[in-house]
Amino acid sequence: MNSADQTTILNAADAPPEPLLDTEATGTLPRPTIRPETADSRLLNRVSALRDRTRDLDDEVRVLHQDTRELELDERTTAAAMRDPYDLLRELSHRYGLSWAAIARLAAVSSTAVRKWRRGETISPDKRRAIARAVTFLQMLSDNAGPLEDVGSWLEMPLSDQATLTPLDLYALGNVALLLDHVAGHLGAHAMLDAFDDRWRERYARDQTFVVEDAGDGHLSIVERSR
Amino acid sequence: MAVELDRPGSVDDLYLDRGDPIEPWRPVMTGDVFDGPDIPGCSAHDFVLVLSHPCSLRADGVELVERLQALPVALADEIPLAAWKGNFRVMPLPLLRRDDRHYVARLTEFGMLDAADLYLDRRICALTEIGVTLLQQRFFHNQSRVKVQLDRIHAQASPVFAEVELWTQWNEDLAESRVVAGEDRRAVLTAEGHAFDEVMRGDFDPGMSLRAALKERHLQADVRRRVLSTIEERRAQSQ
Repeated sequence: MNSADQTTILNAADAPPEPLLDTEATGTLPRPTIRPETADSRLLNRVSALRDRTRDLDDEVRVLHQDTRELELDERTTAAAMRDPYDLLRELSHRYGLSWAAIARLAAVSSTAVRKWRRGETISPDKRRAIARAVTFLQMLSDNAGPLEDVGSWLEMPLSDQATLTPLDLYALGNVALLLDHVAGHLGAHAMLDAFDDRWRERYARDQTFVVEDAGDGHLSIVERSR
Repeated sequence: MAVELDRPGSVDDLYLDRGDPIEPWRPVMTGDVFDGPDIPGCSAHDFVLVLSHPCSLRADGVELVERLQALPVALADEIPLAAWKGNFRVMPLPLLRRDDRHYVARLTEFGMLDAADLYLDRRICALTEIGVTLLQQRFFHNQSRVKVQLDRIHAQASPVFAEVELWTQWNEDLAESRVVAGEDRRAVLTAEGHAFDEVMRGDFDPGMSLRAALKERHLQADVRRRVLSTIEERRAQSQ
């Protein structure tokens, strides 16, 4: 780092301290008391400024990275949209094991529409692209999955014990880049949810009164949580 | 703080199918609406809605239990989606017949019907998973004044939802063609129901059946893949 850089950092991060008023002075103008700048405080200021710059740079890189992922998703979707849409639907159900309800949410249509598509009803071009986008998204998740074994199952699992939100919910609400960042290990679950909505704990609060447990008769039951 | 029950995002979110009648390939499920028979002891009504819990509909996995709980369904004024938070005594069924009329299922009256009197040719509606979950939330609240969050209700019934969807797909892919070819529909659906049940009783892992695996949410996708693969194999064999 050259001396010009050092000057910039010192100037930007830490303007000289405001003069303190001498409140005990009477009859005369208050005299400013100058706090002397020590070598320690200069170093501290430089470190603070560097930290701020690093954080800003990190934010910029993250946004750029997310933009890149969305661009990749868009380009791969265009290629996938050329495939037979019924083949794409089949990939969602047979390869990823998704339910009709999940496929409907990914494609932003009703479960009825998915049922009709399965039975051969024509798929409009915009819905065809929505299906292609869902397949591409799952492929990208698999590419970046790391420890994630079953992408299809993961889509419907809650992301936190504190909220009802699932990856499928976040996808339906347009947060593809966050999900891809999370699966790639760049963003923790809570950090991702904070980036999605800083009031997620309140808005999507999970019921803490009841839990679902095996009832012992072959079915599940809703029971009050043990204290 | 006032209790507010939940609502669907739109009318379409509520219904899996509406018709006159709907297709017969989906097994009877909670929330299905039939045109008749009347429920004894209930005031005048137009249709009946199957109320029995998804886990209580079948004793052996295939055949319906002999008698089912049902709610009376009758014409009513429109209840806008925003008003679903109240109106605790009914389950709204807006635009049930795809015309401009609105219906409600009355939660304050219910009775028993013989399952044998429910004819697939008179089934006019099937609810989505969200629809069934909303019905249950309203019924539980009406009976107990306890509001249970939708995700808990859904999680409890999730294995049955998943199984019914797979069973429907089984019927569409393996039973429909036989019926179209002239076989008796009732006999075909019964036979395919038992064939499906046998698959669901098969091993997912040693000591765990496919049906039991559906209770584990993280295993559902794998169960679906295996059943869909079986359907394809059987379809290939039958052609």
